Amino acid sequence: MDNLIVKSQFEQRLGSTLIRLGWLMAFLAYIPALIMAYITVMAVALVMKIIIMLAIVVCTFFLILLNEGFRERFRMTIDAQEVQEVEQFANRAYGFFSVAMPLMIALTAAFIVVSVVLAFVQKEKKGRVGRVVSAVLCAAVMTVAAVSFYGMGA
Amino acid sequence: MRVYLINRGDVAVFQSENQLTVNRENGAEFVDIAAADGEEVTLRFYRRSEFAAKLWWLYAAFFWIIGVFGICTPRYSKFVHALDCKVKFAAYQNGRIDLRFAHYLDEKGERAFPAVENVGSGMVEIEDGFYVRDELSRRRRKRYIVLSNLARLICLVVVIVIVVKAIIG
Repeated sequence: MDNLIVKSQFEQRLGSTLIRLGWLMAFLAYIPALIMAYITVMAVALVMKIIIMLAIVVCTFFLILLNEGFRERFRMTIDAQEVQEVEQFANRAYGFFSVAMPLMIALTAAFIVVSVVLAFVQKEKKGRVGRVVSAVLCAAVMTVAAVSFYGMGA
Repeated sequence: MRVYLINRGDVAVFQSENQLTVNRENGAEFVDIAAADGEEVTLRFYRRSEFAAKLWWLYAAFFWIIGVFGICTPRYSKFVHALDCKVKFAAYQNGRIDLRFAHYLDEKGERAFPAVENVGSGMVEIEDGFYVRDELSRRRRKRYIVLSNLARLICLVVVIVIVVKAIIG
């Protein structure tokens, strides 16, 4: 009886741990997309700043341009070295993820499958539906991450 | 015949050394008993902590490692006490028995709190229906928590040292 209990507890814990690891992998797979999003957000923020400043200029009938401090704000210098560093970092990250991504996808799939199989093999039915729902959501999140990564042309 | 199990928690159900599958219907848990009319059935309700196993340290270490410093593995139950209760009753067609579980142990030992109670109209005989204090598992659980946090701290320090060295170098 003790052996059965230990086996059951082991299977339950293993299943829960694997599904959590699957979620961890799925979240880590979003790192390249986040890097891309960061660069995009920075560019969009720069454009938005110019649009807002132009709107202020028009609203004040160009009188605000007499102010030296405001005119200074239009001077936007792009540090070439900074851009290069960001580019290098992004390239390094993409290089790493182009190797790691297939591995992460395979590991997540394996974790999900083992976890669901364990849920159905057990005598304990409690939490079975939750496990399956979690597995489906995890697979969907990982798929979106993979599609966004390969869609970016990595 | 059906035996309904209210608030069962993680208690396993056995019938002559075989673990029974606990089914669920409209939120209620139950086990189906296959027995002839009038036959005496003995169910055994068994629960013990994961830290009660002989090789508990190997078990805990395994899940600590594959669970990424124990972060991705579910927390171990705080309630470590053991239950080994026998419930006897006579089976009859389309009959039903309702058992309610309480996961509580009076730490001071002032009153015995029943872990299994018959709340239905069926006649049952309950043996050893109380949780038994498991001091060893409790100590092991505390030891695991201390060691786990210590190991996490050491890993964190090692990572910081490596990163700082890489930056300086």
